[in-house]
Amino acid sequence: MSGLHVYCVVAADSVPPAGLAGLDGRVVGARNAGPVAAWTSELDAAPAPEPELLRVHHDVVLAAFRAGDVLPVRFGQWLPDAHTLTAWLEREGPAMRSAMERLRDAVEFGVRVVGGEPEPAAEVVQPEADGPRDYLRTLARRRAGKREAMVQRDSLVGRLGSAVGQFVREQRIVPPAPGDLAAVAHLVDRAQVEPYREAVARFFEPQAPLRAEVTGPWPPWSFVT
Amino acid sequence: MAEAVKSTDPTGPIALVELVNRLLDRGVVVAGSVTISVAEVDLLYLGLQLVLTSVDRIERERAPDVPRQIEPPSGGTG
Repeated sequence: MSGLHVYCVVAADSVPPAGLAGLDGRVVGARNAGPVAAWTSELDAAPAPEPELLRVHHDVVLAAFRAGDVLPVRFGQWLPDAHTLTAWLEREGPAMRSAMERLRDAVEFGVRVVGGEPEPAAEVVQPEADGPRDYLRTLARRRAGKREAMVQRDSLVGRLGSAVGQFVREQRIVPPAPGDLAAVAHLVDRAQVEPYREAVARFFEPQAPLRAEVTGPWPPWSFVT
Repeated sequence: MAEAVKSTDPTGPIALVELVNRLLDRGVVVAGSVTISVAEVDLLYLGLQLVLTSVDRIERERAPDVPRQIEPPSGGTG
């Protein structure tokens, strides 16, 4: 018998739309245990993280997200059999139910801050030619510049948090992608989505050349762990 | 001039980097129940995450707040 790929955890008795296709085209089903259920599909082995498979996983989680509260499961969580899944759900079910309560009626937005000045090319120093004193001074200058940039970044994220705070339940700072200045995830009440978007836009209007790339609403990926 | 805020809805076409950031790095993990084969995939995830982690963040974790002092050689005078 094949194993199971797990997409998400939802409230007990929440069922996927009929015929929803998961990885390998297998139909997604719900498996109940205690106060929660997992949406899974059969799969022979743990999947490789290929772009097309990520999109299928994403689509299944989005289907659950449209239906109600959901705890997204990281891609690639494959279990050898239903017994292992049931044992996991029974063991972790109460904690997952609590997490669901905490995230009830909330969505995630991702904010990537982009458009800062490109980092200046590093000064070329040659200890032999410039001497050890100049070499160390250059290293110290470079380090001070990086520290200053980090302070500015932390200040920006703090001010953003204050500007949108009344619409945000939680803020998490997440690792920025290469080239981005900063990245945060915001947990926002579904009813506050539009005021939140407007607050983000108001905040970034005077920040040029910095800009924000906002994605959402997402399932609460950044807030389940 | 570029817009101050560009918004994207995840129900439409979405950049792969956005998916990778979330689907491979966040979300519930079936801790304690993963098999060896999944663990091998996790190693691959680690590689992806390293690519996605900015050099700045690495620098932040690596760089000390205070420049290191150059220690005098042991046994020196003073």
